[in-house]
Amino acid sequence: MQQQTIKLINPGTYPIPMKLFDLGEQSWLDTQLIYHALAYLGIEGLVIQKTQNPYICLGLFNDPRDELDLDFLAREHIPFFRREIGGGTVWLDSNQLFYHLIIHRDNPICPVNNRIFFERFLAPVIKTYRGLGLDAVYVPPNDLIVMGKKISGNGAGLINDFKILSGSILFDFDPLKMARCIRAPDERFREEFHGLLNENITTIKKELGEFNEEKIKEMLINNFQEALGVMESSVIDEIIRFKMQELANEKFTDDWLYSSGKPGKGRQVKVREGLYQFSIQLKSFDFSGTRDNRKIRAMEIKRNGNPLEEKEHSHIRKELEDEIFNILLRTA
Amino acid sequence: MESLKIDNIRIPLDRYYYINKKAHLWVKVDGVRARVGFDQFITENAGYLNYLTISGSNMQKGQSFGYYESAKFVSKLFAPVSGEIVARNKEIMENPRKVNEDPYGSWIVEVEMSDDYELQDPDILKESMDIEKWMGSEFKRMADDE
Repeated sequence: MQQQTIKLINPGTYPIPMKLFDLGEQSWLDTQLIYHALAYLGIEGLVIQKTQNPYICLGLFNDPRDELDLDFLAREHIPFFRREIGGGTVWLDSNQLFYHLIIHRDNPICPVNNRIFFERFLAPVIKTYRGLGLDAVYVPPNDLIVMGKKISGNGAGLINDFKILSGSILFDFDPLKMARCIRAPDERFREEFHGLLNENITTIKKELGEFNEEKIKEMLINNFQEALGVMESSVIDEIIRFKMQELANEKFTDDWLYSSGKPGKGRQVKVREGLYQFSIQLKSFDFSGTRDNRKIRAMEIKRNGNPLEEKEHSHIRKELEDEIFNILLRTA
Repeated sequence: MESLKIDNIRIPLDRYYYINKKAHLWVKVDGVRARVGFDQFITENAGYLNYLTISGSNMQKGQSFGYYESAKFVSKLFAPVSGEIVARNKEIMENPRKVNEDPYGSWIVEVEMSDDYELQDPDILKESMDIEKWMGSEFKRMADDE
């Protein structure tokens, strides 16, 4: 297969150097608050950091009641946060290196088109993986893939005229932890999700075995600087800290955490770009299976908990498949 | 209905266009009420709208009144006019992709305007020459991406 070309843009003549926040390890909540605060304060920058404690992070349109096994999270003291940008529900822990780019939408190097935004600013991440010998490619809208397996998920959004890209380099990933935290209609769904994650997500550890986190971080920063210009090393000052506290008071409340506005219809989880596992009820049938972006791949149909016989299965599938697929597309 | 055609984008001239905050929203006025929706520039370039949510029952011109997500990118909706939101298009809330299919037939909210003089603000366009100029600059910004 021909290698995907990556384009690192010329930073051009934008007069103000971006700020680089190379923060090491931060508390889980601060890892989220920092990039929100920078956008609200109007500070362009790149944040590179890890979290001290594991947590779940939801996209703006994810409702924790739909997405998470909240009892399990409470028992295990695993916190969760709903960010103000897009993307899906993710498990985040210290085996990942987070990157968050905050750039003014009018910065000449910031694309208007969001697909180009992802592609352009994921180029430094792709270059980092390729520098390690991994043939990472960008798969729209927001995944990086190595040999068909996801190695980085990303979300983005607009806060206060600043476009934000947020994602992580996966050093290592335990699919069981992610699978345990999601809300599943039954244990079989959870087990299948775990299996799909195992098969479809890879990590630097899985691919390379040995690796040096510090060296990878340096490569990532250098690649971003090649694309965005040399950055000014910065720290979280009092003004930023104050804004983070203000945002914590606003966003760590039930009003914010539980107000996604996403319609709840069945259950659907993304494994990687182009592969989703679902479970949905429609017209007294229970449908479960997997789908890609064009069609339903495999589907089991039950009525009152019992699988349908082959003939009826074919009939019902033929009758309702399009409707189910359209519902799933709308609620992905 | 009279409309402009710029590149592959159709722009009906029976409504106003809000250009501030790169909102790309149209405003169709009927008395003191106005319906608000996305223009075709957004629906062609942002990809399919997957989610849409409206917050509160009032909107203030220039302030956020909701969010939408397309291709994993979340953006805010910025109000083109001030007023009370008297209706939300339930069909569009449940299936925002319909906006991509028919942007000018898919209103998002209906507003009882509190100050219709806002329609004369320079960030609200009605004249075809102004709209053409503005849309031209938007296409130029888009071309600069490549």
